[in-house]
Amino acid sequence: MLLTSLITGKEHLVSLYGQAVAARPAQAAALEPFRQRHAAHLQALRALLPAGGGTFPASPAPPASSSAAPSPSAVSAVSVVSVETLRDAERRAASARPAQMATASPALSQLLASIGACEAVHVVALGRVRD
Amino acid sequence: MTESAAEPSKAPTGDALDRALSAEHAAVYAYGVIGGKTSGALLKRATAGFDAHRARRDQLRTLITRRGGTPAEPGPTYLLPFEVRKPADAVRLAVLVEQRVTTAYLELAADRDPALRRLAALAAQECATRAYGWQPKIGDPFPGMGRGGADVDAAPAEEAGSEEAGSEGAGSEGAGSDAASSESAGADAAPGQEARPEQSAQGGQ
Repeated sequence: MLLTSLITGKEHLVSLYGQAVAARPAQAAALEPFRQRHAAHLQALRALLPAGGGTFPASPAPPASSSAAPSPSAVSAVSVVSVETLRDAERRAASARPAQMATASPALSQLLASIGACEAVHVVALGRVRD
Repeated sequence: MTESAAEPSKAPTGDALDRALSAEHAAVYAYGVIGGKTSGALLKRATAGFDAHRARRDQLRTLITRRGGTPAEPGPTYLLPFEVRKPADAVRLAVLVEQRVTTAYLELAADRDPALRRLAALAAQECATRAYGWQPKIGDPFPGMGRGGADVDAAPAEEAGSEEAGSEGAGSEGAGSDAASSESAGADAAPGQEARPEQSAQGGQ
């Protein structure tokens, strides 16, 4: 249960970056590596799903999918994901990791600690990407 | 124990805590060296890092004592992975130290004690962020895991480099004058010295 919600959260981050990359050509090159790191996190989380668990289709989320729920700050469908939105999402993700680790398996806990560290770095690194 | 049937939890609480303390001891030592070879903005960064690691070290000591253990004392000296002569070397060492301490905290993050996991998670985030502050470049999506891109090249922290003009001359041996030329660190830093972390043998790929 925990793992699937972690995967869902990560899919949302990947999708947010996909939207930002698609909608902001000026920042696309700068943001794409961030998206790729999240995609790597997503892959690592999915790898922890029990093998053959038919209940969890591991369909790769299309990068620029607009089907995912927009961030709370997105008022309309046209509103473009800003760098600040990404930064907020990263910050929330990183600060949620410690609590998520409390009940996780040792392997997942360790993975989440590393993912959270990457997200914390992203918060700072996004400060260098012009909105 | 029963809930982790799939995971042979070989490391009881004490070990990971002890290793985290050892890593912090080494970090405090290294930051002493780093502070001695930097000036201006870099020295400020070094001082902040020193203080942060000292605080974590004290926290870990207290935790170990409270659990009935005996916290290890720091070694009298530590073998640095390469000679630190210039600010660029100091930056490279700082990045390496932060990566190693991050790794130690990732081990602690797998502990059974949720309080230690929490501490480890927060400390790992701080270490990774500090490493980025020294060298603003992200290679590895999994900080501290030792997979792939643990690349410690000596690309200097660019903001630190540009703020370096007002050097206080705190470093002896004219270290301050080297700060501006730290861009060339990759080429001339400690020739022939082993710059890789000794635990790099673990890196599978």
